[in-house]
Amino acid sequence: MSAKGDINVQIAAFTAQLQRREISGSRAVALATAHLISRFVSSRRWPTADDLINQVKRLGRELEKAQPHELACGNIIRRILKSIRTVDETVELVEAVDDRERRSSMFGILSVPGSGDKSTDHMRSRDLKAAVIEDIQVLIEEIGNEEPLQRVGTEMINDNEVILTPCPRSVTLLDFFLKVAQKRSFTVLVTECYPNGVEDAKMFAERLTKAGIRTEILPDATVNAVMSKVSKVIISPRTVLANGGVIASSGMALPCLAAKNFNKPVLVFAGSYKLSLLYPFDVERLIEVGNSGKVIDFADADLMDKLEVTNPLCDYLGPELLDIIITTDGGHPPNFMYRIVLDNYSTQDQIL
Amino acid sequence: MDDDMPFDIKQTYLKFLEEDPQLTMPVAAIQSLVALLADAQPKTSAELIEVLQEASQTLKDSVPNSISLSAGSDLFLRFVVRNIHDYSDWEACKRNLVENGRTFAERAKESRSLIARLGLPFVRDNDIILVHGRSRAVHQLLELAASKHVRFQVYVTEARVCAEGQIAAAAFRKLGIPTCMIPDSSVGYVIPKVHKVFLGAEGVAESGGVINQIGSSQVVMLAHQFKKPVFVLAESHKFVRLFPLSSDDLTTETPYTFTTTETEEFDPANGPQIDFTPHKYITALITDLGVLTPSGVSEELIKIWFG
Amino acid sequence: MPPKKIEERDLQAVVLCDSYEERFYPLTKDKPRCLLPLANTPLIEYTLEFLVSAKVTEVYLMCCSHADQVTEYITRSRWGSQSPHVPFKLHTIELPNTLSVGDAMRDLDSRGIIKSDFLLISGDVVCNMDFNKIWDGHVKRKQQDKNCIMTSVLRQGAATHRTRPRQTGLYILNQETNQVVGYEWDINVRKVSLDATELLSRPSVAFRNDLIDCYIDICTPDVPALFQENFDYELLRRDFVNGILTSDLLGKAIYAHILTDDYAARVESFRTYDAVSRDVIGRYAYPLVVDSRGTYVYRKGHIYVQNNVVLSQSSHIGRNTVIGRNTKVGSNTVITNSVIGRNCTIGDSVVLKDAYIWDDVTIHDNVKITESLVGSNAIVGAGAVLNPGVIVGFGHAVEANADIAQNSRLCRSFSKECEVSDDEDDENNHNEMGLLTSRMDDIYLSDDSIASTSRGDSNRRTKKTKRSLSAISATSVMSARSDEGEEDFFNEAVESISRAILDNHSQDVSILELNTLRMTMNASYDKVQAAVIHALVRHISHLVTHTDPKTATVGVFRQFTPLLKRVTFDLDDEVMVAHCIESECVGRNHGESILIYAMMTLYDTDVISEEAVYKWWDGEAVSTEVRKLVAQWVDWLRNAESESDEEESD
Repeated sequence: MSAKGDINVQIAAFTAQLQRREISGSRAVALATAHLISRFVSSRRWPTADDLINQVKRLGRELEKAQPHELACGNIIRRILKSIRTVDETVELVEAVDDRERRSSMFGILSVPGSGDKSTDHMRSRDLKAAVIEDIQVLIEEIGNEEPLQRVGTEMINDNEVILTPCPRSVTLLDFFLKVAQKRSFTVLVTECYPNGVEDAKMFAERLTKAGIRTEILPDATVNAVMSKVSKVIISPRTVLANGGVIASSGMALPCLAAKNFNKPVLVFAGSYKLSLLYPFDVERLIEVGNSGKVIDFADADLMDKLEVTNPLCDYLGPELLDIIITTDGGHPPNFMYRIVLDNYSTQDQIL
Repeated sequence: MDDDMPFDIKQTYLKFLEEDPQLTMPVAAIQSLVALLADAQPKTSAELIEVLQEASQTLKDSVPNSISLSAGSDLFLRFVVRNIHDYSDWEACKRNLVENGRTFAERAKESRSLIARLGLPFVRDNDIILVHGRSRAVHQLLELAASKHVRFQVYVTEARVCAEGQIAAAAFRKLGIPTCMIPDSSVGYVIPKVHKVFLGAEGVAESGGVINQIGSSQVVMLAHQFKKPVFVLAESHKFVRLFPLSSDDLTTETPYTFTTTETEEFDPANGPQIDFTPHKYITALITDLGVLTPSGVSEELIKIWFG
Repeated sequence: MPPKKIEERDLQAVVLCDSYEERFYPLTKDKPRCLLPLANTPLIEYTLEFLVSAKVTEVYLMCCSHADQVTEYITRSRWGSQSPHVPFKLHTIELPNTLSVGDAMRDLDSRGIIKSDFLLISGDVVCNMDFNKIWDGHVKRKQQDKNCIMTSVLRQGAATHRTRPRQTGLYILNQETNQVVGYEWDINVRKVSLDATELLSRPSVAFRNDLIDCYIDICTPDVPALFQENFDYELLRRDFVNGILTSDLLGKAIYAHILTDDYAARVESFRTYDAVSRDVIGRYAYPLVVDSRGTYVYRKGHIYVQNNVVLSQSSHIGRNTVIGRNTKVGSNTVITNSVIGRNCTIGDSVVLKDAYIWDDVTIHDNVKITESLVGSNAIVGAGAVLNPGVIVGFGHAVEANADIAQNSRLCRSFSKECEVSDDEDDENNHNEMGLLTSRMDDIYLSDDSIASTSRGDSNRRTKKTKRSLSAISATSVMSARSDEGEEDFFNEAVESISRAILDNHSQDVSILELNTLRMTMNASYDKVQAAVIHALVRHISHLVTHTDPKTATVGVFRQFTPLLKRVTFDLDDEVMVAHCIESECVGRNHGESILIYAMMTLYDTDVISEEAVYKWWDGEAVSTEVRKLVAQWVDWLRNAESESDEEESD
């Protein structure tokens, strides 16, 4: 029986929590993952940076398998992999000749095997460890700190605007609205997000009203009708994909389509931990299907027998529906996201 | 190669292509240039580059459809230029290249199996796939998918002019893939039923647009209209530093001509053999560098030309 | 409640891994119910997952039949001590000698492991509810009503809800407090008696038969103690709940928590197995779904496929289907609404509809399976047809081209089909579509015999036990009587039955009395039979003094058929009864007449089978005198049988 402080126990506990959805929400998952890896890096033994990369990748695979729909986990892992690669530059060289999974450059077919000498002057693992852990600490602070995001966002809200938001579950947006309310007065329309967000919408509206923000709850079906008097649509997705599209809780696509129809801007708020290296090539696999009992009442025996119900928890919104994506480093057009993603991640880590 | 004869780059190129049907044009070009290196004995690095540039130009000029080929020769030239200074003695570099001449072809083939592996997740159960023309990369991907027991069906267009659709369809059927052959004119009829489109490429332009067998662009545009994803399978050595805006910009032979008199019998083979598909219609490129969006192509080109 | 408080709470859970029923026979012959797979995951996993979400800190698994299998499974699984992280302390308790839930509870009490209020749950529950809400409710109620000893969780459903066991009793609830005022377990009863004063003291009372009883109870430590005090409690609902509610002395109160949002159900029969499978596949129990542990890929239309599955190009996988890893499906095969286990091989042109195929099953070409269940390692021969309701036991081979009739149960040990006829059609007036073996269930819903709890390998339904008849004879009964404790039991039991005969009690009362006696004095069933027969024959011989032996004997034995049926379970018991009667008749007036009429009546009422008659007849006679009259009847019986055999062979 292993001790409680053992890293393996912690990993197992975390995977179990992910599987049972005891930890949910991108920010919570991102933070928990970062803390876990911090302990992982400091407690595991790894002679070289390559070993560390492999070990972290293995951990990443495990976590991704535990909860394939929660991309924040993989995002954090990839961020840290990138940081290991940056800290120890020799790593990149060694991997350049490794073409088993994917070539790293167009020169791939020309470079002669064995010509890239395996550099031996790796950083000493202790220095590397310290540097990586420092990076992780910076990352953890970044995840927790949404101040830059709010600063950029505040500039985009004007007095007396009517803002529609279809994501009552977002902590990021709630904090943002509360912050902006100190400087501006505006109206927030919250869509109900039936069937998965009805309770949250009520709570969200309640919190905003308490802070003195004029708030209304709208049924999802009325979105198109009110869109003409809305000045902005603000959403906070679960994940921002590399093509600038987003995966968001179900019920968000409709307001964004309506906004497109009325030429109203759609603003996306996403902490940098939501940026993903993935492309939406297989949308079906990225979308989780939730509780059917929320759509029809389980007690309704006849209906249950005769109807088959699917309750997808997410929507995919293509980049063409969005106008600006505001992350911790400022606002970017959706088509530019691939560049931001490349800055944050190394393409070698696309598949863990 | 006959020792008495002067080295003919075009003949060497054609010979390579003939010997190995699996060989692609850019790789044949690279191999021809390597063969030239072995034959010519340049004394300085400047001379070496000059010889290569000259030969590469000759080759481009002598072959009618030179885009694909130029991707290979440009890549090779760039590689030599980039590395010639890294090596303490450029002779060693040359020797290395010549000795490994054969392995390039092997590794180019490996690229295709890499693409197949990377593309496998895109072929899913119950998919209906539209394939235009014949492409070795597409063939390899579908072969892998079928061997992994993915259940899918394929529409293959006839791809007139090159008329390679029949060969492709026969090959798919041989793999046990339910295949349906359609004339090019009925793409609009089947496209609503299709889930995704797979294409090969002769060359990939800097914008991420694709140069491919004629007919590709209309298939892709129809797919775009029906919001069906289009995936292009191309090895990264087909990336070429060109920025065509339309099919007109491709340096191809005989365009169609207008006449008022009945000319000799209508022969489509007289027209252009390739066309250009702009990047905005392409969902993704599946390459040996990974799955890229069209904009990723310029990233990769920048990496080797300006990196 | 703030989350911190939850973490501090110590919560024990007792999982009853054994139901002490035989609803899943013949499958439970090889494997305990809690390890049977539901959507390719053993049932116990669902229960344990729920316990994790309930933040339980200590779990006791009470296992009886196949306890070794449960222990082994747990040790190897992710709950075992080898696993790096188990969210609670888990103990398995093997109780091979218990006969009922009551016994298990009594054992639990004597172990003294229960410290405070605990969660009592059956090992076959699928549930995704927020337990904390229910716990808080329980705590609050306890503060208001000191007598509250139990909170039962009941899911609101509908009387004909597919997930509702048909045998769920009628709950009578105080609508304001949800206190259980009355409970009627017998669903066929036409009237329910309630204390008028009780009724008047409450503002409104609801009679509810729309509830799904999921056997999740929060109990105070009083509950096992009450079982200890009342030896005759066997079943949790019928005996315990009913007992507590009807007893004025105890003054304890039971409350119900009506669940309206979350999912909770129990797999207690094949029919609910089917329903819960469909609920899990249809994602009603989310997050308890097939793909929750990342090994399955979900596809549109509730299709779940694990890795390494080989589906031929022409096969068609319809909606609501689960396919386990390494399974191969042949060409032109159509699968809809089915669950297929791991490592199965399914041939060409097979049709599977609403079928449950467990692990390592081989199905040959052209087989058609509808609404049936095929146990692990079974083989279905080419061209066989399994009609709705068929259960194929573990490792059984169905012959090629066989056409298996509806509701048959096939199992390995008997090459012959142990088919069960269904002439009872009492409650099938509801929509039966897709209800797996709905009829099967109804036949075996009678677990109200004294030995509803008869265990393990006594295959009372198969009538083909291999156990040899040994040492059971009248003399052994006589000698057993000399034992002091058993003597007491015998006398008391005889007295009890005699009282029942004279006072014209309902037989239920005497059954209860007998049962209590049996438990208190630790007597065997042999003794119960001997006592019953003794009392009956003694009564008859009284009657014979003023009526003729035939009327007396037939009358008494017919009247007490139900009682007799509840003390005879297998061939041995039947032979035993015959022996008892014989030895009782020896030396009585009209003994030989009583014997012959008794035997005929028992034969007519199916208490004793033909086989038992022969076995008894061929056994050692107590006295040839007494058998004089019976000889003719036995001969007639034999002839009749051979004649019918001849007819059949024509």
